[in-house]
Amino acid sequence: MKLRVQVASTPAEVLRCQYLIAEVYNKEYEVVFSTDRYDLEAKIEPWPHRYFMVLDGAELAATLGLYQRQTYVERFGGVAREDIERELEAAGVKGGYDSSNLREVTKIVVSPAYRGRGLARLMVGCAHSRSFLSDGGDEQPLVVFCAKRSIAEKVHQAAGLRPRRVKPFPYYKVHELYRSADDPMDSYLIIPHLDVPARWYDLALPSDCDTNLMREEGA
Amino acid sequence: MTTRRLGPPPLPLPTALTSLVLEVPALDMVVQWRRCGVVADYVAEYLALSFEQPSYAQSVLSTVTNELVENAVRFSADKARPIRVEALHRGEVVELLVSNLAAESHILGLEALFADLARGDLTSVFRERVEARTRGGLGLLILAKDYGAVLGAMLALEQEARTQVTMQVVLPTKELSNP
Repeated sequence: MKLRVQVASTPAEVLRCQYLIAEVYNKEYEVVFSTDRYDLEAKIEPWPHRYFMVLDGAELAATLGLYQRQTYVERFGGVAREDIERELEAAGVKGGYDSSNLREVTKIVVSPAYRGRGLARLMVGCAHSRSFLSDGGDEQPLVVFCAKRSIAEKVHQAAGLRPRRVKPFPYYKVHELYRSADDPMDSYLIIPHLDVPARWYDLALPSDCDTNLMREEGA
Repeated sequence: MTTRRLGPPPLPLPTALTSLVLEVPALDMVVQWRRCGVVADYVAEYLALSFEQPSYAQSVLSTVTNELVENAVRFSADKARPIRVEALHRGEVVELLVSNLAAESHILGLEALFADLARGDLTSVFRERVEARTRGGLGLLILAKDYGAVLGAMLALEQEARTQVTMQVVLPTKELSNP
């Protein structure tokens, strides 16, 4: 399947992404959203700041968001700068990154009509493009995310990324329909030049992709 | 279509003097939860203008409407279908009607809530529900316990085990004046 991947850049594109995420998250996890408030016990989540689109022609097949500041793992996951510094040191790149300059990939949603075709893996790979993460600037942010282990394995790792598990993610009511004892949530760190394959990190956006490419590469 | 009512039999209500009807897609409020409050504030301000102490009336009406709208959105089985809000100032009482399409699980919760309300001792019912961590219904219980609201629910069974629920709250206007 031939797909177009791009950053949502117009108000209409941002709204389309938000409505798809809201529809799926509310149906599957009973979550609602707000720009200016959050309450994880009341299942009110904060909206990301930036969105990534996977388009099949004019159809929005999949989307995800990016927190550019106040990341979820920092606000709710209890991940502190020392945790990030520890991971950077273990990776041998202490001093190479600003541990406070984080971006978080979040709210990965594939439209129900497009499931089972590897779109989540393709999208998550493409979204680790430097031009999405750093908004076209020269800075090199670190990437974090929180997810249940099955997603980190079947989506992130399967896309060729090498996420580093930082610490377990605390339990909140908002995740009661998402996580389970058998499939707990964790916070992860991705160090771009070590953990993101060049085919994703250097991907120019917008770009045309083919889901068959993922299969051919074994990703 | 099969219909039934939960709660006490409907009271004969005076003719509406002021009325307002709104329809909003539930998904719009899922996308921006604050919109529940925006709708509630709008309804409250519209009706409160007729009261001697509009700011107090507005505060109570906004609280009550917000509870009903948030519940309607949360338990809406079809988020593309509009939530309908009807507000009627009937002189001695204000009547609020909020409708949504609900799944069977929500109907079971409502039946349990109205069975508890029928016991009469609302303070005990409230305490028991808090202690039992019973999900949902506490906001509606507070409307009855603290605002003297009479609650009812009209249920109209539609296809595929989905039911159109219309929550009715009747507030005596004396409750809308600062004591």
